Amino acid sequence: MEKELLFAQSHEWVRYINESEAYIGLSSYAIKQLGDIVYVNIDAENVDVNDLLGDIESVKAVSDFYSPLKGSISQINEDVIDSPQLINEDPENTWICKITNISDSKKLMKKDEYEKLFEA
Amino acid sequence: MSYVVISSKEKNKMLEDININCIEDLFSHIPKDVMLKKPLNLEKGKSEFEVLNEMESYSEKNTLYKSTFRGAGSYKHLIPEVINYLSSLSGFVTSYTPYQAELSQGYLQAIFEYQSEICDLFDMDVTNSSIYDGASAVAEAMVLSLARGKKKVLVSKAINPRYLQSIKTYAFARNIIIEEIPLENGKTSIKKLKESNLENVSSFIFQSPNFFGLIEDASYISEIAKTKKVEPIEIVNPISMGLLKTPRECGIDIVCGEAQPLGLDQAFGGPYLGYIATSKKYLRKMPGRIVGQTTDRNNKVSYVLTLQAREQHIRREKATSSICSNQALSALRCSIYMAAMGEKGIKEIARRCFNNAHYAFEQLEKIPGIRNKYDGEFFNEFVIISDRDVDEINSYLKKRKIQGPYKLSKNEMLVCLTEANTKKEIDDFVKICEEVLRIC
Repeated sequence: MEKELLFAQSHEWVRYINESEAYIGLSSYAIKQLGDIVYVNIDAENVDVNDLLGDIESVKAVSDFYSPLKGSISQINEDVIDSPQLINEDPENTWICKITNISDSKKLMKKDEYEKLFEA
Repeated sequence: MSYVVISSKEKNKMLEDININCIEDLFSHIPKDVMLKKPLNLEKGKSEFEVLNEMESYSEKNTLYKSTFRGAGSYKHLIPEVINYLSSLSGFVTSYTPYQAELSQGYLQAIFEYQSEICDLFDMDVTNSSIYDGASAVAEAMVLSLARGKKKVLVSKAINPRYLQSIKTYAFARNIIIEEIPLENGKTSIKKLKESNLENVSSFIFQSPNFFGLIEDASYISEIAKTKKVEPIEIVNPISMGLLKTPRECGIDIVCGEAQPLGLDQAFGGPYLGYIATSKKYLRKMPGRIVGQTTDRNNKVSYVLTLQAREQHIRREKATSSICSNQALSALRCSIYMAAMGEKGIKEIARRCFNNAHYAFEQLEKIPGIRNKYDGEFFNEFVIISDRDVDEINSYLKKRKIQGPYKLSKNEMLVCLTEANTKKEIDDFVKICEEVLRIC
């Protein structure tokens, strides 16, 4: 099982712990676009691929946060809820929520492949 | 900026631009058979004096009491004339809640002052620019407290029953389960609260002073709730803040209720004013709008709508609230009241409410046939049991132009005292009660 970050085209990253568990966060690219994050709200419990996990509010906009995986949200990073700016400090090492019982996934790609999408 | 009715010239130009001949053409798509075929059944216009006479004859139907001993959610307090004077300035009276917000700097400043005063009063960090009334404020506070995946909310049976109705209405629409916590000697049963299953519970709503006037142990309730990760929500009579511990001192993060006691007339039940104030952690879940202070390009102080994070015109289908605007004129009165009274004034009023209530309580208790229902400490309301029917006592009082206590049941009544009750009024009230009980 790959321990490196995998990215969805919609800017979420996934770090598998094992086949059925993974952490989810947002890519550096997405966070750079959003600017300073001021509020993170996760309200979903069980999600399908592309279901809404919650929303991320930055000084610029409120953005929906969609799930790249199908499963149950088993944990939310309380540190991030309390201090959303942690995401800005290190987006790709700051997980937002943990998903278990994973049974489906969006198309995910490696970092270099993901970054190629924005080279133009 | 002035709002002027369009002239007939402008009207004709508008009709011409959209290619129609007359206003009626705009409604031509409405089927003929559903249209009214005769003129509306309206009386002819009347002269100013005829109207005045007619209105006076309506107002004569009202019973005007000289004094009142009824509270139960609506309180008669003294209202300094400065409130009527300032809040009747046409700039305030004629403007509706500011939709073109930044255009209404005067109103935004008033709302900003209101917010600052409310936060000071309850020692909270955040409040919005007001809510319709106490009941909707409590229901909105419940929505704000909802935590992910927790579908239950507990409510003390000693909150205002009308607030409970609103809570239930909101809860029904959101599939939230409401469970009531029973009482013990008129107060929330701490034992029952501890015994109840607090798994899957978002919040616990209680009121202090509660509906029966009794002061709840807010600190202890808060502690019990928080150890189980349940958010305590306290409903508070704002006047009581002049005497009792603030929600923050009790470890509470959400406080809400009715602000009518702060400078608003009872006015047969409205318009009133709801408030909701929280600690910083609920800033982004706050319903309604929050006004903030900033500086303009010339470095002058100015006011803006800083946040309205949860509203339907911002969040569309993901909105958690539909307040959108606020209760501007009522909030203005409240703001002027707090400014006029100051910390010292509100402390003084709270003290007088407390003293009057305790004086009346002692006098009533001496009357044979009247006894105390609960022995807990109270603020400005208390429950007594009488050997005579409450209706009977109240009809005697009504003859003397005194509004009697709120009837809880056939023989139980909730007596309310404020600083507006003079010693003579209280003595007269006690004397009449004594007379009624002696007749039996």
